[in-house]
Amino acid sequence: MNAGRRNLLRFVGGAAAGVMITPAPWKLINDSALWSQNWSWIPKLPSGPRTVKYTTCTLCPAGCGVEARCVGEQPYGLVGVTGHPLSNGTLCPLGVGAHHLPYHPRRASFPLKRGPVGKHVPVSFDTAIAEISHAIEGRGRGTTLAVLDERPGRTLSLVYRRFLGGFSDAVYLTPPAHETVTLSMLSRMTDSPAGSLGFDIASSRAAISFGAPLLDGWGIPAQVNAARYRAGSPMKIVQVETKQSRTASLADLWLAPKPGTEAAVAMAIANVLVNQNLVPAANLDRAAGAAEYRELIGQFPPEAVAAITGIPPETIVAAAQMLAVNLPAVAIGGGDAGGGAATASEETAIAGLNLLLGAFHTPGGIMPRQEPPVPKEWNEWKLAPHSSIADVPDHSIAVLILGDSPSGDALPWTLIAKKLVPGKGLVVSLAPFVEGPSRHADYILPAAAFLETLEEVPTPPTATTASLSIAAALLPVPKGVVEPALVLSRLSGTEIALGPLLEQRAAAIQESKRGIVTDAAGSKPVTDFKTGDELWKALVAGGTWTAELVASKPPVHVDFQVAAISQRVLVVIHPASPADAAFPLALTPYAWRGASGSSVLPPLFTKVYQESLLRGSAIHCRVHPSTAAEAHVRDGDKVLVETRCGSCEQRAWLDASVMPGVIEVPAGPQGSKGDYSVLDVCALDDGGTWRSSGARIRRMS
Amino acid sequence: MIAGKLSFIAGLAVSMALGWYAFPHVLYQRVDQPLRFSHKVHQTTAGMACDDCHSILASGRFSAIPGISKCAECHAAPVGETKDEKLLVANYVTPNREIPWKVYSRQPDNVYFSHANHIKLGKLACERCHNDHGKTDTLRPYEFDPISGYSRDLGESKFLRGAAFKTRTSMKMDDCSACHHERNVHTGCLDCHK
Repeated sequence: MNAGRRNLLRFVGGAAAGVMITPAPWKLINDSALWSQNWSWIPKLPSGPRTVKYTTCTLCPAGCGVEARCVGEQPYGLVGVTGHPLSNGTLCPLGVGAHHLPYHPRRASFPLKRGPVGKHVPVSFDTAIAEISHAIEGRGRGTTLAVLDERPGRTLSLVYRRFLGGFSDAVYLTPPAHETVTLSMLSRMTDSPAGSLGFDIASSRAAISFGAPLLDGWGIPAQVNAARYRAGSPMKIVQVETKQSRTASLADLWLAPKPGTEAAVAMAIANVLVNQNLVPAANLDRAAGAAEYRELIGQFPPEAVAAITGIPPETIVAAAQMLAVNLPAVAIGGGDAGGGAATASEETAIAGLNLLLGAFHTPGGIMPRQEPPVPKEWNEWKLAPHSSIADVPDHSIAVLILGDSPSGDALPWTLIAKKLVPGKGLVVSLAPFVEGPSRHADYILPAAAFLETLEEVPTPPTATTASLSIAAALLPVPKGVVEPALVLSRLSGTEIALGPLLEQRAAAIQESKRGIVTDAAGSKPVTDFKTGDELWKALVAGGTWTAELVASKPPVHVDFQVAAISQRVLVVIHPASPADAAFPLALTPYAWRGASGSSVLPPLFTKVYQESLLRGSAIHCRVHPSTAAEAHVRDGDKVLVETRCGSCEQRAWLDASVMPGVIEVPAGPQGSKGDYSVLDVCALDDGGTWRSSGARIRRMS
Repeated sequence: MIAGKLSFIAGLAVSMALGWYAFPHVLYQRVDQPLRFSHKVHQTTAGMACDDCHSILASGRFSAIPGISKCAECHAAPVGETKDEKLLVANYVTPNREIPWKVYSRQPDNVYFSHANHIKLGKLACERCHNDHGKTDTLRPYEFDPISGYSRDLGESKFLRGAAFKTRTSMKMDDCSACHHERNVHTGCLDCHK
């Protein structure tokens, strides 16, 4: 055979063809892809022994126990803790992915200042402190310094108030009540003894919820689950909500009222309860203003309310009967995490159902709670006055410090902005993420994120027993992160350290000898701890202190506050002015608890998305096909959602589960860089709420 | 013309021989295990079962390769005469040092695998994935791909598995998917890649 050039080429051709049907090239392509995943600079879990550490989630107020599975010192997985006194193994999707959050792209890990073109740029801590101090000193007469604390009830909250107490005109602010709004209203309607209230929902046999996501992370989710999935007699749920939420879908009875008419439903149910003698007459007759209340609810017969709300009268009657035959039953207002509560007037009407149902100071209803003890010397502290931000006069705040720990509930920037001195109000954020209201801050002095520092987890605001646990520091803190106590120290010129205060709090509990401490090994009474330091170490290691139940002492004076209800609720059936013709649709934001405020979402959170949300961008609004047709909008169109406060671009998804005339928009971070929220355009009504805003939608060319 | 065809076929044959036979030998590097370990002796002579050492803990975690403390329960002192057992006691049990086993089945960091789910819920036998590994009299050398850094057991398709490797079962993602499909089990990305 001639080994000429031509045959050599054929040999090479054969070899080339042959190699393609061997694993060699394909294996090398695959290997190069794997090789690129293992470059030295790509973060990797360290190797090492696997350990388990116990801590507490701080992403929402529920205080769920967390078992952190670690390799070396690095958490790689979080799961619930079976037997935990609050969560009993429950952990929501947000909590399961919480160890990803410190690495989120919107994490601030060094001080930032708003630059001349509006973007945040790095600034030294000393420079920021000097400029903020200058602004505090130079604030004008009649203006205030304020701290907005989204997580009240902590020791750090007291530190904020003590810091503000050093200024004559400072005020400590909290967001509008949300999950606790019903409890707040009931406190005003009764002479309940001093202390807080909580829902004893684990023992409830029925609950009527006005938009509260009972089955989607509300209150202490494990307690709701315990009632809902109780063997033999599961808690009945009546959900009054415009949106077909998961709770609405799973409820025993779903009443879908037109937006803004929920209070009319509450009044109609009260009407049925009273007029059909479904509840003892004494529940109403012992209250001040019983006759006026009877007269008021007389204006809300189911037939009339059906015309207003769109709910058939027989459904309203069925809801009332379901509650009456399943006592103890509770009525819960507050809406979901994105839409927030309704007006005080409407929430009073909802809260009044609890009095009618006899739920107040009744096991399975609403019970008193005694707060945990604090060191005696703390009672000597001079504290700034406390107010809801909604109650502060407009244009009055010269310097606003946004607290370190976002609540995860919605807080529209429009609500904050109107309280600032126009053009001069300075906003300083201590939040660890550039998200929610922090996006608008002039300075960001970021605190440590969850798992990076010791954090106190106080009593969940809806609980019936006081509790305290500590979230442990399992991750290293980035160098540029600043402890809020250090910021306050520098601004006040007084040394403030949080750690020793937390230890003092543990010592006060140990001295009180109240309650028990539960950890992975079991429970033991506080009396078993010989020193405060011993108790503190148990809490840091993942233990949870819980107090005992307080003996119920029914109130003597009960008032349905008819005048307060009438202010707003009567408007629903006797509107003084027609709806805003320019903005005929109702924009209703909604959100998952813990994920709509200054929080960010871990990638694992995608597991709770509906398929329709995963189809494309998260920047979307859902509308009914008939609403879309009227606006000449097709599925997937880019649209402009406009309100009186502004507009935002969205992608329209047509969804027959949405009520006609309603635009549903998720309230979490949006925009290509997560740089805006639909909450920025929600119009506040005169009650300071944003559950439903007049809006219109038009297709963008 | 014939010479041309022969040249082509020769080239084809040479490259296929290299690609199928020589390439795996060149690619994979072999490392001996630190000790000879006989599953067979433990199962037959000692009468042990798989879950005496490889068990699901109360926490739900799987004790894959037992720590030296487990070995020490029986081998605090040599119970036989073999050289390897003496090495075990002298080098690892007495100084309480873990044996640096090379793990054939160690998955990449981005893979989550639950033995508890597969054994308790899926009711799979150990042999479904580990073949006859539990009956071997010695541990074969650990082979790994120096480019990807992974064990050969993870990176090799069925085609490359020769008859010499009867005790090895591939643990590629394709094999996981195939088994899930066979059993009509859901296969979402996030099931394994958390």
